Amino acid sequence: MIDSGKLFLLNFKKRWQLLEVLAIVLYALGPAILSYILKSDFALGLFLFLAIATAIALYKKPWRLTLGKVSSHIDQKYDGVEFSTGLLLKPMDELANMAMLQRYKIGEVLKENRNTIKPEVPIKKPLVILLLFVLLSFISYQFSFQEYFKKATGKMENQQMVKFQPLDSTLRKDTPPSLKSQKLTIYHPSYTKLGQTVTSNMNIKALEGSKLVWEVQFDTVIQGASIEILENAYPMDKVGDGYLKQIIHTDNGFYNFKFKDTDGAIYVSDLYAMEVLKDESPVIEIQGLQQFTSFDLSQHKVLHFEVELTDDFGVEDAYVIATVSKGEGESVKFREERLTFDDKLSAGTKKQVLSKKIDLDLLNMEPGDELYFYMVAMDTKRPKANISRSETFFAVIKDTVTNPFAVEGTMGADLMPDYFRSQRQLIIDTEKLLADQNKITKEKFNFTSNELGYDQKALRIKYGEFMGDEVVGENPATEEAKGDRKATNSDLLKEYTHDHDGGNEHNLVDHDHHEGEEEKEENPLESYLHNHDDPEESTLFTASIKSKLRLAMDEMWNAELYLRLYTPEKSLPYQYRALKLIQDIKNSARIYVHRIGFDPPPIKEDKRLSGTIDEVINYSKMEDIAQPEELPFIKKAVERLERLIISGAKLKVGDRGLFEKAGNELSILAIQEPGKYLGTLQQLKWISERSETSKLQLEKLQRALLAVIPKSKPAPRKSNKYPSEINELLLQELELNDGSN
Amino acid sequence: MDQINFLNQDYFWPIVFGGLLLWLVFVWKEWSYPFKSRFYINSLVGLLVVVALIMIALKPSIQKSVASNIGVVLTPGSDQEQLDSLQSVHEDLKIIPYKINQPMGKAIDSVGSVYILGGGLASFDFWQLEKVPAKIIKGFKPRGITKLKYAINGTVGEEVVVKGSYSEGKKGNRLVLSNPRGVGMDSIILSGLVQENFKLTMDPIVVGKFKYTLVEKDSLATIISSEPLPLDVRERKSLKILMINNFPTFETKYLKNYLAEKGHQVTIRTQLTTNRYKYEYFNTEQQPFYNFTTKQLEGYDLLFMDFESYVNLSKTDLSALHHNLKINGLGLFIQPSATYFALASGRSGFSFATDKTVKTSLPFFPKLSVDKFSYNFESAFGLEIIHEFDNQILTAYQRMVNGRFGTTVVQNTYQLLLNGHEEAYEQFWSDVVTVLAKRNFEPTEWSTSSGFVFMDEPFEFNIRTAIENPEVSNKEKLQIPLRQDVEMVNKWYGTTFPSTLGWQQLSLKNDSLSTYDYFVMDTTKWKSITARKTLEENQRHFDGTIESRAGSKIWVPINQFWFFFIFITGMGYLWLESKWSAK
Repeated sequence: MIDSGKLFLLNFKKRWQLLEVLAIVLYALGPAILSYILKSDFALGLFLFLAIATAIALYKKPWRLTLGKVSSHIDQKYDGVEFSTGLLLKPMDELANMAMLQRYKIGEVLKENRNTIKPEVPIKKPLVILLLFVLLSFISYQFSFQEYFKKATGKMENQQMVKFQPLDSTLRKDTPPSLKSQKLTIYHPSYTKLGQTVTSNMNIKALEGSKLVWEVQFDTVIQGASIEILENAYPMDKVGDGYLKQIIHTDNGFYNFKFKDTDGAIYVSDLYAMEVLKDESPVIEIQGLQQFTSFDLSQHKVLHFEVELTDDFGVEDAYVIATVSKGEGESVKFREERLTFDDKLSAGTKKQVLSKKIDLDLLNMEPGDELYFYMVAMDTKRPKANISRSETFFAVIKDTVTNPFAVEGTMGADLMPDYFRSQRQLIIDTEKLLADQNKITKEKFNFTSNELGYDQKALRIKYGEFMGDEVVGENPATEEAKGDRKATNSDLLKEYTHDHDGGNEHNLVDHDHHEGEEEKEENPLESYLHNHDDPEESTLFTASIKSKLRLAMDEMWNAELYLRLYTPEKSLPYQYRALKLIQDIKNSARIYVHRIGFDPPPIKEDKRLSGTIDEVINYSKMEDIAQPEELPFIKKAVERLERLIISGAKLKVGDRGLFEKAGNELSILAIQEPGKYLGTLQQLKWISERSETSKLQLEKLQRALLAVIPKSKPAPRKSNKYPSEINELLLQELELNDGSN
Repeated sequence: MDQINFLNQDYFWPIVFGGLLLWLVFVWKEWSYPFKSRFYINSLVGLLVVVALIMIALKPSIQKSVASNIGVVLTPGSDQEQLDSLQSVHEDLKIIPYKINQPMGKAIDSVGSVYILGGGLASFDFWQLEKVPAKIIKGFKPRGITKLKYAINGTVGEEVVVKGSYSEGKKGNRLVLSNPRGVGMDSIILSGLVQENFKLTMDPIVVGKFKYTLVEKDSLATIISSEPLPLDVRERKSLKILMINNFPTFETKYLKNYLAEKGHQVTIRTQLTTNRYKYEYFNTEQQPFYNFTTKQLEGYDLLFMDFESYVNLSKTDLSALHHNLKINGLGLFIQPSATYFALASGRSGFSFATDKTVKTSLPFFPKLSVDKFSYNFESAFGLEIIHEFDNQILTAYQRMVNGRFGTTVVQNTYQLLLNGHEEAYEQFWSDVVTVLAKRNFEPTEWSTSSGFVFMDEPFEFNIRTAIENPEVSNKEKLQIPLRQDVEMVNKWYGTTFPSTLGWQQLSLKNDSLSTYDYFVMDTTKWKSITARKTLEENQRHFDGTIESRAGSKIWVPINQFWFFFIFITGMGYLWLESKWSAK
């Protein structure tokens, strides 16, 4: 009786704890179910469940629930107990009578309200969460989210079991041996620090030099298994229950498995691709550096740049190769130095940025010296590292001595001042002006046109000087010059006229002094002229050149006229004609030089090739450069297939070898375009291995092989002919008649 | 006895004697003395029975004068309307059905003359109408592909041209030339004309014997008909080529590379200086070429020579060269220079006319421009054209008995290569070399006039060979008899009846290398072509006027029914009579 209250409390505590545990279980169950659905891994689900449960349990600590806590909870929640449940916990002899009574009363109350008093554990919340997870699992199961999830993780690949087909259908068993497990381990080269990859996917894509290890296990005992890579068969070693083979991955290709069961029936698998990935060379990216840098002597001659090195497996080493060249022409000297970067290179990192400062002074460079440099980087590949080289950069310290720049190099005398526009330049400018006509204002257009007119005049006057007389070139020029001055007065042209138009003329051409005796004295050509008696002919050029130059100047005059009239489009034809004439003159100048050159006397025909030829010997060379026929075995296979299809005969022993060779040819193509040829290759493999095939298969194969063969190119050949007597007679008769004609 | 004749005349006496013996048995059986009338009657009946039996065995025929009526042979494709109008003209028209390869029998004998309606008789059935004047009535028109021309023997990489003509095609239908596995290689769309010519081309890529097909499809690509085009594709034969140059040129350089890469044996001699030469040998062993002797030249199929070398040849060299051309069939190509064209035609071998144009195009690449000399060929007797563009002859040759010598007005063809027009370059020189090169003289030439070969139908072939008494056998090693041509001793005719489908081979016993491959198909194939050929043969053969044979007499066998009737009645009487008398 006395104990009933305490008993209730103890029961209540137990109930509380139980509910607490239930809530924890419910919480943990949801994620566990979802993970199981998504990954179909029981262990993972269990682990997740335990982990979550432990975590929540540690947080909630249900084992720490004491009776005191329970009683105080009941006291707070239920008025009927009058805050007296604590009495139930106390030993009977410690209680006063009143307390005893109260304790009894409370015991009764508790007994009566046993169903209404509930532990404070929210069980609805975990239930809802669980339901939520179950719903989520159901949805993901329904919509196959697990497939997506599997790919994303990669680790848990779908077991694509290798499928085998028997070669000989007559020996087919009800339950042919099948694979129990398959495993491909790729040991990546040690320098990659990648370790190993284990996969059940038999299509290999691995770095060159990787070690490939296949392990297969069969569900029954078999005689032996092998791997066929291209035409070679490698028997697999029996290790324990399974078969194992290891190969160093070097070439692209295809392989398949083959095994023989205890009855002697042979089974062959599908083809799998072996793709070799090459280790990429390091990539060098240079920032903050021009391809060509030049420094003045007084400048601070330092090149500063940053180099970003990237490699797929790590950069081992990097440095700069700098070459300094001193001197010019024959006396040029080179000095090569290997420079390290300023930052320390950490070997084996995939990406790093290094900076470098090159002080040209420290390289003992002087004015006129040139520096060529490039960066070299090598990666970690073994045994032979990949090396990359950047493009070459240049740095020059400008020489203090400069060469004058020649404008009209072919004129015999270089008299053109730098600021002269050549006729070609004038044409280019005029065309540009015309092209820009719509973009610029009319005023600007007219102004530029006038400017060009002025330049045209200057050029004409300059050429006029070459004439050595003032007859043609000068008059218009002087008139023009005068006109210009007039124009400034009349103000008509003012806004289109350049400031120094005319005013600057004395700088360009001394047209003021063209007239009179002074001109002769100051004629820049004076020193080149012959002082012939006839003043008209006392020029540098022959008469025809002179007349040409005169014509050219006429054209220039017209060109200038239209430019001044702001119609550059009309001026262009004249400019072109002028240019052509000037070119002619230049060329005739060349001919002049040629004429005074060495003119050898003609050699008599019979003397030709009759020199001392003792040391000239016959030469003979032998070469075989006939191109081998393309895809010879595929072609032969096509022909053989045609015979097989038409005659309906069975494959013979020789055919197998032929189809195998054709397969090898095709596999080379298939590596490049597996999507296109892999199916055909597979068919070819089947047909070459199997003892019997249907006509339909052969036709399908032939069709595919025909599509592989490229179109043949035209080539000469020997044709056949039967020497018919009658033909012969006719031809001889024709010949006779032809002769008599 | 003039009026009666026996088919089994040879057995006349044994049969008559046997019959007599048989009758004596009858008489002996009836022998019951005293003779009653029954004995006489039975003996007489027995005689009748025995005579009937003898007649059945001897098959008597009597001479009858031919009736003057007219028959009509209905061959496949005959038109009912034509028959009706014939019947309205000739009231007692006798209709004689015809089935290929089956005798028409007596029906033919009983008519004075026949009309043939429809596509006509197969040529091997003509004998049936040998005695009867016959005339084929026009009106039948075969539909479908009625003419087809292509070479059954192709060379790999060389275009095979299939030309033909289609009668009354359906507009929009498509003719597709397909490879052995039905992949289309060329096609045309029929325009629905009454008679339409077509030309399809393809490049065989694989050596061997293949069955290409000519497929007709409708606009929805449903296959309407598929006819086989057997093609025997052969390997290219390589050539031995010699090039003689006075100095190295780009043209020769690229040409020799091209030819050598294609596997030909090329020898090049380029002059370095007087009596010093550079020899290059490609795909061949070292074999210096020193002088133009018949023997040195013999081994070569084609000689390229620049004009300078050609004019510098001495008289003896030149005659050796010409001898080789004429007798051995050597090919000669002169690589011209501008001076060559200015030569007199007697020296250059061709006559040229000046022409201002210096650019032209090649016929197979009309958009491509190539350099040419400012000369043109003038057409002359014996000038054979290799390339022609826009009525300008670009490359041509002339025959010298067996040999050919040619040249071109095109120059700098290597520019085509440099500009990336490899195919044009290769096509140009491939044509030139193939045409000019020495032919491979075959001791035997096979040909056929039969066109397609059908199973169980005669396949006529002929061979030209210098071999005396050639012996031809088929795949089964059975010898096929040959008939020699009356005029030409080298020509022989033979006929065989192929009994298996597919590729068959005829071989010559005396020359094991010489074989002839032909493809045997069943008679359901190429019906339209067969029909057209049959029709033409009929029109040629039955083109005469119909003269009635009235008045002439023919032997007609007496119907055996009557003898059977007499025999059965007589025997029946004898059997019944003994029963009656026994009662």
